Amino acid sequence: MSKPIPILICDDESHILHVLGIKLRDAGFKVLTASDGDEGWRLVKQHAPQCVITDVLMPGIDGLDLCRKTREHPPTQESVLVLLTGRGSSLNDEQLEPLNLSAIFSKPFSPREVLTHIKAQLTPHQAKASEADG
Amino acid sequence: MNTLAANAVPRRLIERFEALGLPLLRIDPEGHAQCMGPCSWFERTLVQSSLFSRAAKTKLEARVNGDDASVTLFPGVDLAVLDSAQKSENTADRFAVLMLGPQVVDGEMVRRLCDRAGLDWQATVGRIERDRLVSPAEAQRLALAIGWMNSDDRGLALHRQELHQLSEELANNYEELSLLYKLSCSMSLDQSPVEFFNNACEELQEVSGLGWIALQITEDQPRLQQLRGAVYTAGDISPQKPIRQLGRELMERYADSSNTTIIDDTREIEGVARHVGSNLLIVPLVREGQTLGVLFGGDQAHKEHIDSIDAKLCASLCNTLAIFLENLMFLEDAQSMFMGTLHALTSAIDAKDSYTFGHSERVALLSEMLARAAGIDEALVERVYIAGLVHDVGKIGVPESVLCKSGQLTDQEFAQIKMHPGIGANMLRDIRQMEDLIPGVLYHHERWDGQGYPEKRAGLDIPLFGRIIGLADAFDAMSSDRTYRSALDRDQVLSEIKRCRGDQFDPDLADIFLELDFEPYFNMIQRHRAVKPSGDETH
Repeated sequence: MSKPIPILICDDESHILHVLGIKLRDAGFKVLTASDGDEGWRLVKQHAPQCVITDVLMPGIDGLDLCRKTREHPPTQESVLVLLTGRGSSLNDEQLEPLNLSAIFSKPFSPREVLTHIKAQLTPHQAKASEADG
Repeated sequence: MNTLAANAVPRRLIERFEALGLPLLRIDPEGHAQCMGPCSWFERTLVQSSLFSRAAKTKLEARVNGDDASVTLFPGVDLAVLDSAQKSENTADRFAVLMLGPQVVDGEMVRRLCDRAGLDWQATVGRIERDRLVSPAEAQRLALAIGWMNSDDRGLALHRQELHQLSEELANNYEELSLLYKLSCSMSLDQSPVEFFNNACEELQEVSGLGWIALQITEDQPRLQQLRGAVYTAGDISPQKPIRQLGRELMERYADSSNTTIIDDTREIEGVARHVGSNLLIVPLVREGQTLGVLFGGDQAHKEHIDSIDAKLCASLCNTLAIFLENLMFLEDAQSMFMGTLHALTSAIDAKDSYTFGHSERVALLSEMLARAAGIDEALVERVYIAGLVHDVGKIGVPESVLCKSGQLTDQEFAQIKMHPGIGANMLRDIRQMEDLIPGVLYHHERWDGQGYPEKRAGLDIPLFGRIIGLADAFDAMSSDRTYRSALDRDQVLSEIKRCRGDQFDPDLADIFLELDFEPYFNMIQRHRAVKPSGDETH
C-alpha cells in the first residue's frame, strides 16, 4: 500500500475532529488534528498535508489566515483547502477568491459528503504522481 | 487502523526495557523467541535454544491473558508477559520481558543447555553478565509493575475503543442531522413535490444504509391532488418487488399505529411483504390523525438488523415529510378556495347578461392557450388565466340596463360601459395576491393603434396581459351570440382577427393566436350552451 496521504483537520470543536477524523482515517488517510489555528499552522509546516480542512472562527489565527499561510507556504501551495463555516458567518468573495478553496461546507455538514469530496480531490493527484513515477 | 500507531507500541516498549537493562522478547505460538532490542550473548543463546522454546510454549499456553504477568520457565529464568502489546499488535505472538536471576548461574538449566548445544559449561557460565541479573525480589516487583501496566493498557484500549464507537455514532448522528437540516431547508412549497420526495428518499437511503426505500402517498386524500397514490423509491428496487401493492397493504395494516414498526422476519407476516426481503422498516406518515402515506424499506447493508437508530432517523424524516404533505394540502385548500371564489364572482358578473354566460371562463381559457403558445413562463401563464377570469369584474359597477340593452347605446351609456376596466382595476388594487392581474383588467380594451380605452395606449405600451386578454375577449365576443347579432362561424372570426392584426391587435400575438388549436374552446362553448339559462325570457 502506498503511504497514507496526510490531511489536517483544524477546528476548536472536538466533535468535528472526531467525526471527520474517523471518516477520513477509515478511508485510509493519515489524519492530523489541531484544535486552534496556531497549532494547525505548526502542523502544516511540519507535515505539509495535501489537504487542510479548517473551521473559520477559532482561537489563534483564524481559518482564512491558516488557508492563506498554507497557500503561501511552498510545500503546501497546491494543497486542497476546505473551509467549514458556522451558520450565519458571512464571508465575502474578495477574501475567498485568492485562497482558491476547493469547497466550503456549512455546519451541520454531511461527513459523507465531505469524504466524497476529499476523495475526489485527492485521488487524481495520486494518479498523476504514480504516472510520473512510472 | 493507522499503521504508524500500531508500530509505535513495540518501539516504545523496546526503548523502555532497554533503559531498564532487560531484553524484550517476541515469542511465537511454538515458543520460538527472538530478542527485539539489545541483549547479551548468553541471553540470545538461551532464548534461541529448543530448551527455552519448549518450556516457553508449555508455560505460555497454560497462562491466560490477564493473569499475573510473571511466568517461571526454569529456576532463575522468568518472563513478564506484556498482554497489551500483543493485543495492540493484533498478533498470535506474545511479547515478554526476560528476567534472569542469580540462581541461573549454578542451576541445572545451564548444564542442560550446554549439553545439548555442545558448549563448554565453564566458559558459558563465565560469559553470563552478572550485572544484568535480577534478584528474585526485584523480579517480583518488576512483574507486579508490568501487571499494572497491562491492566492500565487494557483500560486505555477499552477507552480507545469506546471513543472510536462514540465517534462513529457521532458521525452518524451528524449525518442524520445534516440530512434533516437539508430537508427542512428545502421544504419550500415552491419546489416541485416530486423532486422533494425523490431527494428525500435518495438521501435517506444513503444515510441509513438501507438497501432500498419507498415512499407511497395515500390514494384516499383528495386534497393531495395529483400526488395521490404516488410512489417514490430509492436504492435497489427490482421489478420483481411489488412495491405499490406492498405500500397499499402496509398502509392499511399500519395506518392506526402511528409508530415505526421493524419486522425482523417478514416470513412471519402475511401478504406480499414476504417477497421483498427478510426484514422491513415501516413508518406511517401521520398528521392530525390522518394517514397521508407510508415509508418503508429494507435490506440493511451496514448492520445485521434494522435497529432503533434507523427507526429514529426514518421517523424524524417522516415527520418532516408529513408536515410537507400537510402544507401541500393547506396550499391546495387555499388555492381551491381562491379559485372557487373567483369562479363564483365571475359567473355572477357573466350572469348579469345571459349573452355573456361563461364568457369569463372562455376568455381565461383562450388567454391561457395564447400565453402558453407565446412561450411565456408557466407560472405567468397561470396568472394570465386568472386575469382572464376576472377581466370583466368591473362590470359589477355598470347598470344591468346598460349591459343588457339590445338597442343602440347612447353616448352616455357607452361611457358607462367604458368605465368597467377602471372599476375592475380599482377593485383588485387592494388585494395583494391580485395586484399583478391589474394590467390585464385595465388594458384589455386598448387597441394596438391607440384607438382603444381607457388610456388610448398603443403598441407595446399596452402591457402583455392586456394585449393577450384583449385578443381572447374579442375572439369570444365574435364567436358567441350577442343581443345585436348571432355568433359568427369560426372561419369568419379568424379572418376578422387576421384583418385586424396590426390595428386592433398585437400582430405577433395575432399570428400565434391564429395557429391555436381551438378544439378545447369550442368544446367549452358547447358545454356552456347546454347549461345556459334561456336568455330570451330575461329580456
